[in-house]
Amino acid sequence: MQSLPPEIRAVVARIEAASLCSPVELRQELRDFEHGLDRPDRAHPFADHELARRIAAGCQTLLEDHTNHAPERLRLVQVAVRYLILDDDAESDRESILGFDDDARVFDAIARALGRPDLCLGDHLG
Amino acid sequence: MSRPAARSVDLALAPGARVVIRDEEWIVRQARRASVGGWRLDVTGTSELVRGRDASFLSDLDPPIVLRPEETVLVADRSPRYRDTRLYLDCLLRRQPPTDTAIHVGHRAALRSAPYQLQPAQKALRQLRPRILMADGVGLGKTIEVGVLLSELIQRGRGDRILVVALKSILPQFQLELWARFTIPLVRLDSVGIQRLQSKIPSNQNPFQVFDKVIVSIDTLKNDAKYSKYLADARWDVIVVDECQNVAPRADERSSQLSQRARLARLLSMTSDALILTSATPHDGTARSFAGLMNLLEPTAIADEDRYDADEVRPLFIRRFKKDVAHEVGEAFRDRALELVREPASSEEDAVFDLLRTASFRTIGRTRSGKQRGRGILFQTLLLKAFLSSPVACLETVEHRLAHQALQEDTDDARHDRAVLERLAAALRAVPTGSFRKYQRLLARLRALGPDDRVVVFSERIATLRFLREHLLRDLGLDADAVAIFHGQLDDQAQRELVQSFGTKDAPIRILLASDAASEGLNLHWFCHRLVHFDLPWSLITLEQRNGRIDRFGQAHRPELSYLLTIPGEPGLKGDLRVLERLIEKEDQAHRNIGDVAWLMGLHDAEREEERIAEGIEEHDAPEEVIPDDVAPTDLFAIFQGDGDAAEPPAETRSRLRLYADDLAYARDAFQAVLGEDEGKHVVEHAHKQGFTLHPPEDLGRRLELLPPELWRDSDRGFDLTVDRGLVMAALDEARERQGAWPQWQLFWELNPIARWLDDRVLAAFGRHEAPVVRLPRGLAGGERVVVVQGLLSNHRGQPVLVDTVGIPFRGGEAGAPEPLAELVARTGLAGELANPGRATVPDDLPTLLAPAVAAMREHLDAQRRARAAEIGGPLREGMRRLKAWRDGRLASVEQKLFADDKATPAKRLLLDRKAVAEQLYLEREAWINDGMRTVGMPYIRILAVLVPAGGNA
Repeated sequence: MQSLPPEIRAVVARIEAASLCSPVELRQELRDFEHGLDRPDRAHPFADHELARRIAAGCQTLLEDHTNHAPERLRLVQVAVRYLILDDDAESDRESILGFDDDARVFDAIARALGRPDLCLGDHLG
Repeated sequence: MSRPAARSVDLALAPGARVVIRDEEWIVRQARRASVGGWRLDVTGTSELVRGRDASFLSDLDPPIVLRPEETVLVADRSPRYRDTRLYLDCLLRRQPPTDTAIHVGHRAALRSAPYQLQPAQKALRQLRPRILMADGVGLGKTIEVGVLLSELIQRGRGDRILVVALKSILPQFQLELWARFTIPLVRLDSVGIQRLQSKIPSNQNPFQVFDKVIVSIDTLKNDAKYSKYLADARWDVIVVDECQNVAPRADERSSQLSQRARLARLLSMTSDALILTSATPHDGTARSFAGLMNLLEPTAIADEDRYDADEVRPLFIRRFKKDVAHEVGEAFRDRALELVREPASSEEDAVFDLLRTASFRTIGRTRSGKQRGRGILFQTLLLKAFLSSPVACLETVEHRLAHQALQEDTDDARHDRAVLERLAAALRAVPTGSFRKYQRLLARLRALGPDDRVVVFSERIATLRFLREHLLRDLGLDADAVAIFHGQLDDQAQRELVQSFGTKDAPIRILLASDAASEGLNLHWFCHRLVHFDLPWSLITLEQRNGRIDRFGQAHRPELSYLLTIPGEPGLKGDLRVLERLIEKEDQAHRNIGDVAWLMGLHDAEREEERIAEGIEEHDAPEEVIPDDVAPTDLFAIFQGDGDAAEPPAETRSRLRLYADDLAYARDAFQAVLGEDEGKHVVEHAHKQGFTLHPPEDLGRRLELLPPELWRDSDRGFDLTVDRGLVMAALDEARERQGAWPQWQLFWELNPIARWLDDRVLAAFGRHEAPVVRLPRGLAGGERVVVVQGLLSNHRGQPVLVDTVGIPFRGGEAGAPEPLAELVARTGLAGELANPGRATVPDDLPTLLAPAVAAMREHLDAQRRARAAEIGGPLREGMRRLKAWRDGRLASVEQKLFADDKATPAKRLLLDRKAVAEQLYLEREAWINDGMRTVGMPYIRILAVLVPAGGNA
């Protein structure tokens, strides 16, 4: 996570402070997020919705991996999920055409930290 | 009818929308973001009290109420042949902006365009942000190419505000061409225009915000601080920079403080969406110089300005030469006839040559001028060059030098040089006009011409031009106004009058004596196909530019180019001057083969070419060494060689769907429908001219007030409009026969401001928030209803982004899939002759169909919006990522350098400036995407008509 730019780390720190949710709740949050993705008030119309869906799918995989594991590992997955869902992150999902690029970087950092570099999406960033 | 519901002003303010403001109904002509917040709405009144009145409102002060389409009142169309419905629909189709990349209007302007002239527009339209360098060779008709693209942008609602920046000598020519061929009304801000303006608007008001379409000279923007400030405060849809090499940043600019021209270039590139640059000489042979222009268009296009390949820049420019397009144009390019006259020097002239050959100076070395960066030219060579122009030109240089302070000193060296120059002056004075062979040859040639024939005579030296004028007037017995001199020291008005006069058939001018100030961009070919080089410019580039004044697209006769050379008797000097003959020969060869003469010497700069030729003469180099046979290939050369017309796909043209045979048939019905009995007298049709004369009614008169005043000349007799392109072009030719005149006939098509006024009247003719019901005898099933709906999605600036008109069919009360209007028109015969049975009732069920029709249209537009986002999202993101990487890289490098330098130095200021530019560009691009590409949340939807079957099926 230290490799991420400071503006992203600041948002991550904010999210990390939240109380831990159950995997079930996080899965529901991801599903709600995907359903609302096409709404112009949710994400920039030209943002990479496909990338957002791939991050969501990656988060689901991490959730499955870590459902019965230590809370600190689940907390990391929660950070990836909440960062994705949060609109007003380092690069606003609603205002910026590159709104999901920072979400992908956070996801990649977490996937690597959890030993799943195979889920990384960096190649999507062009 | 219930009171229409108020809507957020961001929802639907597309052109054509009907709104209620101050309890009156208006049609929106244009909606723009206001600098004070909210929107500025330019509207035309439709309700009784304000009918025909144009007004502007600020939405924050006068919130508009947008009328709900579901509450449209359906009325039976009682007009003969369903004229009102057909007019209404056709008018909306005329206004419907294309959203694809094909050419829809430009090819229908008043021109005999060749297919290659449509390609630049197509190339620009294929980009998300239309930005292009039109770099075709001299004489290919770049103004027409610009006009085609501007027309397309205007029709797409992306050309409401246009700024053209051009050389002062070109302004009137550019303005006239764009009006006469494309009816694009540019207000000219030259010295006269600015003066005129001062009487029209308050002195503190920004003229760029008063006028939407302006042409201004580069000099005005560069030299008048007030105007550059005005420019910084204005925002344009399109900026055209003609002969852009005059504002482009120079290749070596990076290491120095930014020059005024570079700042102007940057400002121009940042204050508009679309940017059109034109130049026949877009580089100086270095990759970096061309990168400078490319960076103006797209700062992220090139990663390494010294080394890049064709793929990086190809989308941003187009460059062809005559040889590339000759097969398309037939007689629009005539093969040139070239004559080289080698006139042996007279004994008096040879005496001067001998003195020049042997002269040496002790106090005068080499001189440099302008952009010359080499070692300069020997003074003796300068004198030789001046003498090759004329004895008087050489004498002028000699006398000028004799007056020089260095020669006034009492030293041996000064005395020596004075003596040499005085001997030379005496020899020059001893060349009588009768022994000035080249002049005698010119005289004989001019005597052989007919009384109406015209000729352009080029000379580098104003002294020569003055000599020629004085002697030609006397020797040919001409009136004073038959011979005129054009040079760069004339003010813009004098230049304009001269060029206009030479391009006017009935003007008395016969001989235009021109310095090389006239060699760039001017059209001198309308009534002239003869050009004489009285001297040679010692540069292939200037030579080509000179020839391009008459040897260009549209020349009606075979261009005749004559070169007059004085050949000295002394063999050595004669040999040295052979390079001048090679210059002529190679220019002609390049014209026929590689196209771009600048590659031959590889110097890409007229003054550097001049210096090299001077050096060749001084060093007695073989002509083949000075101007080699083969072009030395470079990466940049490879980039241009790959961009012939074969590389460019042919432009695709499309015609819009229309319900009338042509614009005249539309106008005929429109005048009948919208003009009252009194106003009807304003129109007189001329069937044999496929046109009409219109005496502007009051509302039109008011609207035309902000158009170029040139339009109003002769307006007492009304405006003559026609759909006959041939007639418009003939009128343009005819206007050239009368000095200062604009063509009598205007093209009547959708872009003409008068046609736009008529459209507005047609739209306003329907009552408040009404749509017609039409009973059709064929094409509809029993009980079928079709609601014709138009939907439009705008961007955040109010420009249309997605527009579609469809029929929503209802069979058994259920809304079916939207049917494209073209198919609906074909199956129902809406475009043909329709009889109106006169049944004046509206079936009861129709109003209930409006809400589901609007819902179906919303869904249809939403699907289109998603499809568009998917299509352009990838390229937009790719561009943005590139820009982000570019910005981050630049910021990092600037930060690093700033860290190392803690003093406030000019270099530091430059770094901070660069940092600000990088950040500004990024923000600007983000704003462009958000304001220009992203659509507003809700579409504007209107019910255009409802179609029901006639008779028993209804």
